[in-house]
Amino acid sequence: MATTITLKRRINSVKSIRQITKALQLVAASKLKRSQDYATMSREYALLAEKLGHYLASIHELEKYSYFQVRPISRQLYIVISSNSGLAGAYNSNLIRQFVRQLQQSGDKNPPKIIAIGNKAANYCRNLKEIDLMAVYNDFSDKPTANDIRPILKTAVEMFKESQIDQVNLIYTKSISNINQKVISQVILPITLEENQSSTKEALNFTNFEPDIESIIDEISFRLVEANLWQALLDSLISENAMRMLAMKNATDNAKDLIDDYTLTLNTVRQSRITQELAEISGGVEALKQ
Amino acid sequence: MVHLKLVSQTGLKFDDDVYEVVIPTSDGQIAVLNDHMPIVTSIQSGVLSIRRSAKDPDSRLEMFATYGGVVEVKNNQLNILVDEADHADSIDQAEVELAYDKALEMKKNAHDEISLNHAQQLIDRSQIRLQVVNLRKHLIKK
Repeated sequence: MATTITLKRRINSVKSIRQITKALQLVAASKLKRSQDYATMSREYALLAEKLGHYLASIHELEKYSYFQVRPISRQLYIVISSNSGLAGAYNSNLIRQFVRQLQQSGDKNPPKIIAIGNKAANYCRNLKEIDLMAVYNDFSDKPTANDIRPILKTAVEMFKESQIDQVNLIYTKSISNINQKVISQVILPITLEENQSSTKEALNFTNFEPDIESIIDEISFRLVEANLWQALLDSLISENAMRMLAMKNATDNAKDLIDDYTLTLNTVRQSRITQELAEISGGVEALKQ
Repeated sequence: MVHLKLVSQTGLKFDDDVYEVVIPTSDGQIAVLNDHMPIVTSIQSGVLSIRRSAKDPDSRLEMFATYGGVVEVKNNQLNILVDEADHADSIDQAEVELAYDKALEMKKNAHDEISLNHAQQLIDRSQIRLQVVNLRKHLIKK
């Protein structure tokens, strides 16, 4: 049985761990709130981009424009959004598990190209064989700006247009609610549009496209892809913070249970030692009497 | 009246009924007034100015520095989707001038394509911002 001194030491160390996890939990909670507010702000943009996308849906032979070309898939680009730091529960491991499953299923002969966002995905990819890790982005702040994702977007779009890749997959964690997150794999290029409604088709006949329809298709398509990537990045941030908050809350609760357990053991040990000492003393007194 | 909705990635920048909006498109400036024909066009880096009511003098124009995007006009609804839009009031001239000089310096020291592009982008942005500030000053003076 452990001595009181080691038990006391254990209780103290668990206490300080609890302080740290508690602090991390609070930080994550406030970051979660901030990232949610930030995401709400940019929701307008995604909505409007989607609305403009309806124009495209009613254009004939959309497949001939580069953003919409569906080619047989032999080379793919993966954009994986992970976090820079750990201690976020299963956030990164879920993501990587999904990513690996997809790599295995694809069965491409050509090494897949990967753009990793966040250190965790980057570190994992560095250990993989037969892949082409094109770029690593690990310097996004809590409030990423449109300029941050621009280089990723440009690379992906240009490579797709030049037929260097046939499909761009985005793997990220979607935040469904504060306690429910899901890893999503989404094809962002070629763009697929929902079935068009008749109203937009009608409106299109009276709409002018300036300077010409090609450049407008290009411009809107780019924004659609951008809005997708942007939303994914913000969703990942929310998920990361929510999962970290929950993980740290669990850790804090566990620490409390541990402390209770140790305190109980400590009391038992101390009590039994006192009892033993008393027994020894009274034993000694009895011996002296005889 | 035309209802203008100006949206950038960081949120809704303007959402109100206005009299006239002048937009820098790739084919030159266009002014959108009541009952403009439906049009979809691309917006260039430049100055976007808004006249809230017909009687407003030039000195009361609201201005935004914008950096590329898409414009949609339909049924007196004007939707503008831009990378970023800075309101003239939020631009600090001294700050922009400082940023401009810094960007020029960066361009001079740029040693690869990426940093050169980045510097050029910063230069373009600062130039548009300065343009907005100066234009506004000029109009108020008049």
